[in-house]
Amino acid sequence: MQPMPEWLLKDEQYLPHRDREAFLNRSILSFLSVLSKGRPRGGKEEGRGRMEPLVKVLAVFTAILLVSLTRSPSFLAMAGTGLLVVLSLQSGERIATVLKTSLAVAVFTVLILLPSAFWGHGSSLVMITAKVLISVTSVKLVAVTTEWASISGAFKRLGAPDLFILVFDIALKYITLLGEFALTMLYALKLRSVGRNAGKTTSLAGIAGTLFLKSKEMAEEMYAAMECRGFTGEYHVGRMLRLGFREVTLGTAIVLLVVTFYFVRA
Amino acid sequence: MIQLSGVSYSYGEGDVLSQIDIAIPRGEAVAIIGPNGCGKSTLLKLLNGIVLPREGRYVFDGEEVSAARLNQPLFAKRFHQRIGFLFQNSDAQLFCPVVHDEIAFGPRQMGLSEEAVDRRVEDCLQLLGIGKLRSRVPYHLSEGEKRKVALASVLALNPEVLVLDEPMNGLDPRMKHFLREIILSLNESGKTILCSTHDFKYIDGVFRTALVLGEDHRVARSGPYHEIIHDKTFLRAQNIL
Ligand SMILES: Nc1ncnc2c1ncn2[C@@H]1O[C@H](COP(=O)(O)OP(=O)(O)OP(=O)(O)O)[C@@H](O)[C@H]1O
Ligand SMILES: [Mg+2]
Repeated sequence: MQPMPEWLLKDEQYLPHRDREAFLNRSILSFLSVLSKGRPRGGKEEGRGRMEPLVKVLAVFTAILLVSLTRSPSFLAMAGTGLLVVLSLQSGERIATVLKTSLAVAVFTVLILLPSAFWGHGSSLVMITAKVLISVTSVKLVAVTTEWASISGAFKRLGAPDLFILVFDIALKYITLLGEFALTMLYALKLRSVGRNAGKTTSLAGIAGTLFLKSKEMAEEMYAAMECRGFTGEYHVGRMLRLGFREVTLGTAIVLLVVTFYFVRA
Repeated sequence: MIQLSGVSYSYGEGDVLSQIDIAIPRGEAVAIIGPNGCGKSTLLKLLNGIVLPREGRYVFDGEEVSAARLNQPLFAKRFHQRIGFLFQNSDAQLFCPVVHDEIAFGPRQMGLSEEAVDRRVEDCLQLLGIGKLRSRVPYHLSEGEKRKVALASVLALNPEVLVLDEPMNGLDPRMKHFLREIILSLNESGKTILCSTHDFKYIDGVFRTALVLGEDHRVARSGPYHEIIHDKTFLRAQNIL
């Protein structure tokens, strides 16, 4: 083996210089780790509070459709109230998770629409924000209360094409995997960011490049792995549909919503 | 050099590290052993300041490593220079367009002259026998080559403490022997080595101390490497053998 180079035998006498920007500081990293924590573990389906995913997905789909079509503030108020009732039945922790996302999105919407409000479209600002708030909250609610496997199962029952479900599934797996991978790379960059780094953007571009290659490779590998396990383009779903009290209640609520939508418009 | 007292860490629900107490003197060579998922990688991340203790204290060479300290750029930079980390997944560690730049990344940041940087890069390339890879794209290298490049990029910083997460994983036997020699001579030249591994066959004679993490995420035992590695009953009880 090669002899150890001389510099490697001594302790490094290194005194870092002050850098102007605190690049890659903890706040960026913690922001990213929050992103990758939104891992699609999906929600937990607890025994007691469990509801048929297909009914949930259908209900949310209908509700969002109606909410986005309506022009009536009172209809929105009614849908919002219904949603609040459902939300209040959840545990405090879940409520917090759901509201955190939807409020963030709502604030973002307001910021985007603010200029138009100054031009005299104040009422549309309120309507659109309410619509966004209701839609995001209900989607998020389904997300935290349902395992992803049963959501894709629900899509399957709705007759969604297998390819659509496959894409949906892979996309979900990817978001986390890639998020975690990106985070690890940023950590690696940070660990070696021991001094001045003139080309910070170059380093980040390098990460983005590797990420792209990695995602392409992961897609190919995942497809190959699926083929190895006998995947032929068909998705099989095993469980039977269960309709109980909860499902019927939610179903009735949605029917009521549809009826109201009709009358409010007329 | 490294001292953890009562350190716990969790990623969410449940502790992944629980009440860890360890003290590692300068120049030591420690093997970290334990079944899959017991928290070895997490412990090594914590030692490198990637994750911070939820509870307990981490003291590195007399200075506490905490969120507040790591937010001070001068402390963070010096700390990261003094402790080097070879990730379990080398892919994640390589982000430069060519191998030469990858290795030069650290020394350049330290403000060494371009001449000194080149010398370090050459030395590292020679030491690890990867001179041929100099202008290759890191991403397309083989697993073993990536591992060597990642190690070179860490060594170029000349850290006092070297943390290796399963460095033998996925390497061929010859490469494992080679890596063993490198670790040995780094340790002989005064570097403190911490290394998680499952490959007992290849690391014989490298470590003086072993630290065994149990499935309950606590330190199950720590002590002289040879004593522990030959205690087959204990290792079986820990699901390591
Ligand atoms: N980013 C993360 N988010 C959530 N849980 C995690 C994360 N990383 C690790 N874990 C969990 O923490 C536990 C310990 O993981 P760790 O990677 O430290 O184990 P390990 O001892 O290195 O295992 P191995 O021998 O397989 O490398 C595991 O149960 C793992 O599922
Ligand atoms: Mg590990």
